[in-house]
Amino acid sequence: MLQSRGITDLISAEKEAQGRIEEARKRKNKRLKEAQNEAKTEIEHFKGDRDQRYKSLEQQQLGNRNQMTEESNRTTQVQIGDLKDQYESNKGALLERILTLVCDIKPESHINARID
Amino acid sequence: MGLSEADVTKQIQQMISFIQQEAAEKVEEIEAKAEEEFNIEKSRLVSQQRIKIIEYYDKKEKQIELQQKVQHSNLANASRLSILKARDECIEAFKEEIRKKLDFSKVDRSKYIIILSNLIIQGLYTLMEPIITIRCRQDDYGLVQRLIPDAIRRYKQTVKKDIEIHLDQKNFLSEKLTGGIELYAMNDKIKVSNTIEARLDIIFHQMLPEIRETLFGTNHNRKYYD
Repeated sequence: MLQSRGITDLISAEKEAQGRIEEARKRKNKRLKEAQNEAKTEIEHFKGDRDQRYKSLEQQQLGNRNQMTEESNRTTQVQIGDLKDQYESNKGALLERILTLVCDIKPESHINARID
Repeated sequence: MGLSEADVTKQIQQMISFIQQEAAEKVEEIEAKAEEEFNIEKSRLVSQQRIKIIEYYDKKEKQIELQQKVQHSNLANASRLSILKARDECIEAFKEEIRKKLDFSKVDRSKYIIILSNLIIQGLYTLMEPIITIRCRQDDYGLVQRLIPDAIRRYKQTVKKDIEIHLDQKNFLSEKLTGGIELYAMNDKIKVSNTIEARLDIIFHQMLPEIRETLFGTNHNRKYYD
């Protein structure tokens, strides 16, 4: 009688022990699954930060683009203006010279055809 | 007979304790392993994805940089081109200004007569043909007719050859020209264009380097001059 009671106690102790081990294993699997989810959240956070960084760079570049175009146009216009001023101030003497050259005609017969 | 009741109970208790202890150890082991594997898996996943994300955004940021460089280059090119265009327009305007000043055939008659007769004789010297047809502006018809005999005389004197000149009565040069004549020989197969415009074209073209330098200054980027 005592023996059988002792054995049942042992058996139930064993069962309980197994139960606890099973539970521990279940918790372990659950924890592993949590790894996936937590990783996902962390990555999404990281991605969000990076994306924001990129977007602000994009915005900055857009602003720069407009500024650059304006500046380039302004500089070009100034240079064209200077060009025209140069032209106006330098053309005088040259114009007269070309006029003279066009009107100054010296007809000469071909050197091989000259008879002295 | 064997063990007493108390001994048996004690032994069984011991065995139960042992079982419980072993189980507790096992559970601890499992839990430690769980944490370890959790951390390994999580950091593996995170770094794997991190690398991909970093690669992706680095590439996109490089594209932005590239776009900026392309735009910069495009702007520089466009600017250079507009400046060149402006220069070209100045030179064209310059030529036109000169051409307008060459339109003096009605204003300075004596000067025009001298030039016209020189153009005629120069044309004759160039062609050296016995039969010539001259084409002029309709307004100049009378004037050219009067200048032809003198031209023939000068030609005969220098070249010692006979020459026959016809003045085209049907075809005339455009009224838009500022002056001068065209000469034809060999049944209109050889043509000499001795208009004032033609002279301006040739002279202007030959002088272009000088014109550019005088109007706009020397080019400091130029390396070769021969």
